[in-house]
Amino acid sequence: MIVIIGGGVTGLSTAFWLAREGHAVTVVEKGIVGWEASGRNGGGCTHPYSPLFREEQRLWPMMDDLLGHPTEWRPNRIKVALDEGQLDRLWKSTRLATDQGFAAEVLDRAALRDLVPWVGENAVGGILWKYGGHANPQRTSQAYAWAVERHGGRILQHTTVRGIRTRGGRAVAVETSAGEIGCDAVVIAAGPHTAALAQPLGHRVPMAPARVEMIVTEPLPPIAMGGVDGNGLYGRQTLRGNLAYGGGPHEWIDLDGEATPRPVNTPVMAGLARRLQEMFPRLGHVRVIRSWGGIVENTPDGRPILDRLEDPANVVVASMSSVGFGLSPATGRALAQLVLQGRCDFADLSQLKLSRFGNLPLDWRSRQGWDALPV
Amino acid sequence: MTHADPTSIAGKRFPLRDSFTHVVIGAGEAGIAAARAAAASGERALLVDEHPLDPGLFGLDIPYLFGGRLDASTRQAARMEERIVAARPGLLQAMEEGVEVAIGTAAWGAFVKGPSSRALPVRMLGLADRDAAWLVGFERMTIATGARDVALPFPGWTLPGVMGAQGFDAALRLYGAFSGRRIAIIGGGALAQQAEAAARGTGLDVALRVAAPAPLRILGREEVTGLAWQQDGAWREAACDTVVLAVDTVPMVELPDLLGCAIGWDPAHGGFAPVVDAQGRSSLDGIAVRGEAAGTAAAQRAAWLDLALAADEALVCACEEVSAADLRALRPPRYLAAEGPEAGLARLGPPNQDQVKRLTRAGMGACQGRRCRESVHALLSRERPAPLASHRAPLRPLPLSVLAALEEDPALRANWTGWFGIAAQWLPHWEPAPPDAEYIGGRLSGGDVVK
Ligand SMILES: Cc1cc2nc3c(=O)[nH]c(=O)nc-3n(C[C@H](O)[C@H](O)[C@H](O)COP(=O)(O)OP(=O)(O)OC[C@H]3O[C@@H](n4cnc5c(N)ncnc54)[C@H](O)[C@@H]3O)c2cc1C
Repeated sequence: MIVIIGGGVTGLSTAFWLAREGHAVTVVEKGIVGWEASGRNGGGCTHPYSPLFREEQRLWPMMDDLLGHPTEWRPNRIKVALDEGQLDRLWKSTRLATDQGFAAEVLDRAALRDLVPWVGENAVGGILWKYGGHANPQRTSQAYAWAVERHGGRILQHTTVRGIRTRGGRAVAVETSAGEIGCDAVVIAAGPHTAALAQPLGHRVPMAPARVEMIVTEPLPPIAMGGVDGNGLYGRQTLRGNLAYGGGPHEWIDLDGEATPRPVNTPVMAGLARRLQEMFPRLGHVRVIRSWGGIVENTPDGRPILDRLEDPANVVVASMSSVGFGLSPATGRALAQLVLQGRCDFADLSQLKLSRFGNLPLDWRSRQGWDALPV
Repeated sequence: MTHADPTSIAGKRFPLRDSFTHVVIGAGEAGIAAARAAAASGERALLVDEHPLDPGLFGLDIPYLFGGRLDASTRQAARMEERIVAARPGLLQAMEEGVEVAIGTAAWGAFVKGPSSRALPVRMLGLADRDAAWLVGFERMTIATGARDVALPFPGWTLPGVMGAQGFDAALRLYGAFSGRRIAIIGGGALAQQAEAAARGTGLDVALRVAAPAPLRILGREEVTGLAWQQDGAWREAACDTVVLAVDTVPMVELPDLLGCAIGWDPAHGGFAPVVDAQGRSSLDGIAVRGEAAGTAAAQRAAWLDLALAADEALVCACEEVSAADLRALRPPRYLAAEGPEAGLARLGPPNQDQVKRLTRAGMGACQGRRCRESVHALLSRERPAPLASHRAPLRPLPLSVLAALEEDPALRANWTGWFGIAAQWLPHWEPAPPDAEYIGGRLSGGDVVK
């Protein structure tokens, strides 16, 4: 039995790949699957800086079929620049993908306007990424969960993991609010709570939780390629037609026990509206209907930790450091391999080990300016 | 800490237009009384009311079910302001007693310090008129936003001409802008009786009132032309141009929910109602809820909703076109042309309205569930009441241009990044993180993010 702690996309995807190969898996989730960051994100599936990028790009077109439920995935991204500085930085991140053989096209003002009728005279141009894409996080999370169950895996919702019992250098059971589950292997994919679960095993997993927020508008007639963003925003037009965008200042917080803090909104949401209107000046009349927040964790270098521990040797630790939705199809496959064979055979994860933080000073959060303010 | 992460919210300012010791939301009887009492005890009090509404909201049925039965005079702001002041003489009294009064001003958000919002320096209320959004600071708040309508999803309920009791009352008494002539009233309780009395008092023709729960069909193609109801097994019909759904109302708990006040399921008080003591104090220090926002009278809502929801075709969520059958089957929206899980709703664990919304889109539309919350909740609560579906800012749908007009700290603009501002995150993860990298993630303008 492989026990996976956390029913976000990281844990669910891992469970999916394992169950699909016939392994017995149980996902333990303290709330509802996909309820935290995994169901609250921008849905972006474009991570050229990750060693899992190629696999991310290969898998997304197949996910609806693999999972048996629609994820609303759509390919490609359009980046909008409102000044030369924005355009310059966009090209720098574009080069990460084009260096790997993916294609991108220059969009002059007119070409941009053809693709995105909402932009105005203030747009200097854009880039069409013929890679990447976006999907619906809520539908995707639930699709993973149903696929896990279809392949015989078990998902325990409203069940909290309280500890991991070890014997002789191995995890032997996971202690939950509904009793103990014996295990042959454990994956800790509990988002911001990953550190607290790994700590009793003698491992410091450095991460800082933060709150971020998004807004969404009423639906507009869908444009052909809805994955448009820029101007300090990430987001997309959903298939239904709503504009869902995030960005701007995050808030470093502390966790208080096993619950995830309620991720409220702040007046930053008005800043999101301001930047959306700057990017799409023709849409001033479009109404914002809702906002929401989410809690993500970041490691000191902002990069994932995907690592199988040496002791206990059957425990895998997985934090996506705030960029885990889009990569999840690939992450789950990689983690399944770490569980089963101790290494990933399709991507170089050597830089994502926990040991890179071996010399990290204890007060790293303070040094980085990442301390939570007092409540 | 050396210095706070400049791309974080820490240390950012939120410019306020003004500050008050006490803000009162909603200038009905309860709100006016609370504001006057606050002023009398020496508080600097602000009383806001969203009426006269941004005209765009009438068509969205926010905050009441207006059913397209208000005439064009509602577009004339100055005239509507005069009518509101005339309809509520207490407003002038409150002003004379030192209350600052702002009508035509919607409260769309409230922002207070909490475990995930530590950076908020003071309690802030988000306000907006037709042109701009702004913030005011406050210490105490009284929420007196009243009650909203409960829609019954009988066939034809989305036709122009189908109103709620609150919408009808506002059209008649607040705006003086009701455009119907011959009305049918649904409901057997005090709410329906009041609607009938008000209608007759204004000289309207009341075609009939259906008092006991019965299957209904609202007739008409472009708009309401009649009502059919079942009585003793036979369908009967009456001609009318307006149907007033006056079975029940529900406390407007949006602001209490946004603030994190405790809210409980209490059918004797209209459904979800804030948990308050005899003085109206909520679970949150300094936040009181008064009047119908704190609880309404018990009514026959469940029986009526059961009748309406029995039909699979019942159009529960009008914004997103979700039927009772779609909900039971947990069917994804039509544009996906896909089926839900085989077991439908039963496939989920304990029913949760927000989760069902994410999958079916019921309640996800422009009206944010104001017309379907009660129906969806009833559908999910066969065994025990499902938890309250969440409310989020903006509590009134605001145009991008209005929200964008909120004044912003220049430091917030200067350091705005698309995502965190951690330079190494955006560079190849198969190479060690470089020490002094340039941040190439989404950034507004300007130079490197200071780390
Ligand atoms: C607003 C926002 C926008 C984002 N935009 C994007 C984007 O566009 N693209 C992208 O790729 N990423 C994006 N992200 C990041 C992405 O959402 C996360 O990196 C990803 O969802 C992480 O998934 P996860 O499964 O690792 O963690 P989570 O989703 O946090 O899941 C962890 C789960 O573990 C559960 N859990 C915790 N403790 C316990 C316990 N003791 N017992 C049982 N269960 C427990 C939690 O309840 C939770 O459900 C965004 C995030 C947010 C919040």
